[in-house]
Amino acid sequence: MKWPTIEQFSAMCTLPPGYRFEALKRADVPALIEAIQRWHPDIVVGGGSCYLREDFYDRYVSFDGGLEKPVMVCLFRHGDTLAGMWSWEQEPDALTLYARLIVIDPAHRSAKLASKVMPLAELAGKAMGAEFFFGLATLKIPHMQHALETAGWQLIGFTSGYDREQVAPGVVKRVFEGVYTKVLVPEDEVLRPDPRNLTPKARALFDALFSGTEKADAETAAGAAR
Amino acid sequence: MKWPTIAKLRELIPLPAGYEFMEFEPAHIAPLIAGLKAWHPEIAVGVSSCYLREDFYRNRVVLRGSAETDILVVPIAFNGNMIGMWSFEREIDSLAIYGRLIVLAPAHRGAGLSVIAMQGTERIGREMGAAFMYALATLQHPYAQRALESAGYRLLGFFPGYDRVEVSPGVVKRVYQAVYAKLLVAEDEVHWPDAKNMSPRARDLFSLLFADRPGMAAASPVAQQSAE
Repeated sequence: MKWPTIEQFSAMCTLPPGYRFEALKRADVPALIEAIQRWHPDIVVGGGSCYLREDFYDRYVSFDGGLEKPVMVCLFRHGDTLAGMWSWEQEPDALTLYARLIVIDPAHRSAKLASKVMPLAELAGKAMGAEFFFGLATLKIPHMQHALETAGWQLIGFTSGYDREQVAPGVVKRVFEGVYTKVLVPEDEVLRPDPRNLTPKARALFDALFSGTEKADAETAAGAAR
Repeated sequence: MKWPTIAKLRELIPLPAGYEFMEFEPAHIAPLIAGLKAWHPEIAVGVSSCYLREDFYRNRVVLRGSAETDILVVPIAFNGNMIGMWSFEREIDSLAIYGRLIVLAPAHRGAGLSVIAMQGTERIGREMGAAFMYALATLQHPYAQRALESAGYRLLGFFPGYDRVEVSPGVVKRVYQAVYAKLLVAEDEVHWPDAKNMSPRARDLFSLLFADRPGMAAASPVAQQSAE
């Protein structure tokens, strides 16, 4: 799986007038770190804090014209001004993409840049050969949950304390996040589990989330009859 | 979060007679890859196929005598011969540990090693200062689900197609996997979400998954199964 170029991203998504995508260059990193910290001060704690460390970019992030690496960071520019960033990670062995982070300068949030990027997941993901996309949505505010659901992503569960956040000044706690996924292949390329292979607890939740194992039951019965 | 030494690991998770954790060193890479191919041929496809590549071990795994990295591989021996492996990944910024893979030679699958290992992960996590442990369980058989549930992990949802598996010779499909997790911190260190900050869909699923918590909705099918 190769990351799309900025030209390819730009061709797939029309940003509001004045805005454009830009590939991350190594020289942008110090300014990006300073901007992320200013736009989203809570990021200093928890899983996203790696985006405040230069060594994270050096080890894991693809730079414009550089080596292909598992993490991609794309910038939003408004004129010469840095207006935001978004980042995905690829897992080539699983043909999977992870929507890691999107942060927009508060002064540019009315441009709704995050919602413009969401359809890219399907377009760019398929173009690069990905078959599955997932992301985590904060439960501190409902906006990202609504945006993902509107874009056709499926809520498949919650992380019960995976990450840490500053929930009040100086108070850091483990938090819950919603896990959203989007399958990028036709339904017949995804194998539904045989209900006999699920524990009672797993079967009960599977039934609730995926309209029941009845379909798989029927398929199993049909298979046995053949 | 520093990985435990092999001596500490042996102390934290005593294995049945004859079995022993080994310290992973470069000379183990080739026999481990050969063993994985023989013990679990399906690994050739999907996210765990990285365990069949030497460069994965050289670049990302802790090897004796090298710098500490984020992935630990612990070969398991029986009477001195490698018969399986166990692997974790640490996520330092989240204080989380991901149980990536456990594979045993078929001849050793009745020894209860998986259950012992799952139950021992909590001791490893606490020793390292982790606050959250999680793992994905296959839905192709119930054993991993059972082992995680009996070790006190909570079922949090399913990935509908995160990984790929060769479901019959030459036929590769995406498969569902169950997500299990265990919190290692006190209740007052967890911030429970406010229902008004959740979409209606999120609120419904949250009530279903955490119905056993005081103040949540009436008992759900999932919670009822948990109580059984």
